[in-house]
Amino acid sequence: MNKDIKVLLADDSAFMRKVLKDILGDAGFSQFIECGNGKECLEKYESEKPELLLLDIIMPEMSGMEVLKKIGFMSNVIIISAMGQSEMMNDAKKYGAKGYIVKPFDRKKVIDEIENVLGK
Amino acid sequence: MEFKKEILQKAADEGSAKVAEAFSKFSNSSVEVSVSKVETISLRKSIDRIKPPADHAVVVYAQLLLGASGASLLTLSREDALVLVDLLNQQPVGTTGILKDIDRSAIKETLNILSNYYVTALAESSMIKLVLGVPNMITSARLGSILDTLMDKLTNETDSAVIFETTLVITNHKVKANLYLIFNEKLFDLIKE
Repeated sequence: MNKDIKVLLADDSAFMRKVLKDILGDAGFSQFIECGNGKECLEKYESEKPELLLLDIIMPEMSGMEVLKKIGFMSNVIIISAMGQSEMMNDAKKYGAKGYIVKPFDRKKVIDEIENVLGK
Repeated sequence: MEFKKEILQKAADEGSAKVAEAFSKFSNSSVEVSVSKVETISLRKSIDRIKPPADHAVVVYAQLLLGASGASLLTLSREDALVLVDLLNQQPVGTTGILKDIDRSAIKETLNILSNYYVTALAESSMIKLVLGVPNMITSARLGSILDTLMDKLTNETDSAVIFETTLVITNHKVKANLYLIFNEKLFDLIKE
């Protein structure tokens, strides 16, 4: 798996972004872009062109699901959410998410899911 | 939105089992559920029930945005909040002396994660989509004031609410947190007024 890529972390929780950076940093990723709402996420996606987007669903300004509807099929998006409802997971898949991780994070599950999306 | 009693009980059982496991994983500690119940009680009684104990100065809440009208609430003492932040950050207990923005973010996310286990269990049992909003933090004094105002506004004593009540204890650090989910159609209309 190529770890020399830009990863966009979109979560309104600064703490969860820190946790993700720790997990991904330990796995060898080093280029992170952060944002705390859906609107900012779309702006960063356009300007930074990340190869991977880890996207929370419930965020202020614009939800992750709205972001997904706009760019889901054009990018590598993995949903990171506390919502584990099957309907929500199906919606995410329908709008182009390639993976879905339910919080709290399991380090191995996060890396496995990224490997599934980016390839080993 | 009315929930059948057996669906509420199923959601309470499933939610409490998963919430302890999730909190344990999130806080890197052993967690016990010391209280777990779901009841349909009068709105007045439920408002009284969610009033934080005197020592629970830290309050996080989130409102349901879709599927039903309600809210979730997490309360804990300031001292326990500091310990929780240390555990969440995997650092020695006693490291955090004051709650910074990122620490508050950690506590808000705790509510988000824990309450969503109940919300998911209830949504799956009742075949509806329930969506909880962004968590916010307020002082217990502010919450107490809101709840007192609500009590004054209540005119219909027959209004009832569904309340999920859970007390979680991080056993080796004696951290105690109260988690509530409360469902009532009028509650937020009253708050908005």
